Amino acid sequence: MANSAQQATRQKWDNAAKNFDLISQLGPERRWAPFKRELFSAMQGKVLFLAVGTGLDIRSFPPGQDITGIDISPKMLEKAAARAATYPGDLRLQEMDVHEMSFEAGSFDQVYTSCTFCSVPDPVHGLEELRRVLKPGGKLRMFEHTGSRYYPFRLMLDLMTPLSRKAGPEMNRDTVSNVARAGFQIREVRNIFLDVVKTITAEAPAKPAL
Amino acid sequence: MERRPYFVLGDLLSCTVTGAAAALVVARLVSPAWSPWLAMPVGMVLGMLVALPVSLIFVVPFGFMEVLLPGMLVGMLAGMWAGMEMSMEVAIESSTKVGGFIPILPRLAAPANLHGAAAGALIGVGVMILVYAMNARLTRRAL
Repeated sequence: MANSAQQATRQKWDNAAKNFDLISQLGPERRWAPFKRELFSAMQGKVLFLAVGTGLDIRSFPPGQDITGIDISPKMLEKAAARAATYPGDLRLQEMDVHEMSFEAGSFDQVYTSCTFCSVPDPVHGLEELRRVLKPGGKLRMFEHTGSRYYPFRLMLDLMTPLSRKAGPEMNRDTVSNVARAGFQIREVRNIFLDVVKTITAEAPAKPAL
Repeated sequence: MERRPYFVLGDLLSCTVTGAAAALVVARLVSPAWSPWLAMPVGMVLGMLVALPVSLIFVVPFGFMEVLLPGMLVGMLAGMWAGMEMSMEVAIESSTKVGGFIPILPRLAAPANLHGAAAGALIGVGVMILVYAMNARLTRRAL
């Protein structure tokens, strides 16, 4: 049964689903599409795609992959269904919370996220769950926006976060540190815009943490 | 670094419009009687408050962080400039009355008119160039 935090998160993203494509499709997604396509081009084996949203990222997936896409919001998944149906490969969508995934340990070869860990309520716990469902040595590849180390951008992101949190994402998270805290070995961090938008590649340890 | 003309022109448009709007609004709200020490921080905060909704308009066609972060910085600097100019105008006018040496400056720099908007827009262009330079440097760096 969903707890109150899950219900609040689900409600927030259900509310956002109505205008999500309008806000994101033309500017943000077109701007980031080349970088996402490059990141997703490394997909292979059994892939988990976290927070598939309305499915805007599906067009950037390489064809012929075996992908499970999850999202906490049924309204988002309703919109994603049409895009998933056009994907030339095996793409299944499921409603699921990253904090309590029903997948068995070691189910996936790779996990992908796209602007997700700005919003997951308990990011380290969510990342630990991703580590659990990855096979030992499995890859986590993330496209995320984070806080900045540089003034004045750091100050601005801190100032915007109390407002942005109500509608969706937090702007000032240290996602790279969270990935390391969740037990992943970080392999590469690449800045896409300043040190705010970036790709992160990490690896689950070869032996599961006790 | 962004090279696609659509987004480069979009960044230029959003920075210039945000700078002009922030400078004009701050100039209307800051009184010439204020101390520059008060007008400067108030102008910075007001400038950012104006920049946020103006930038959000440009998020939809041109990008998320790439528009919001330069926009907030433009608002802060244009607001700071407009606040200081308004507060210093009284001092400059006073100096011209007693034989000051810069009589033309208040008219050219008065932020409550088109010159003010143009200066705010120029600050926007400067911030865009700065952000592009920072971005070129930071995107070369990897862990």
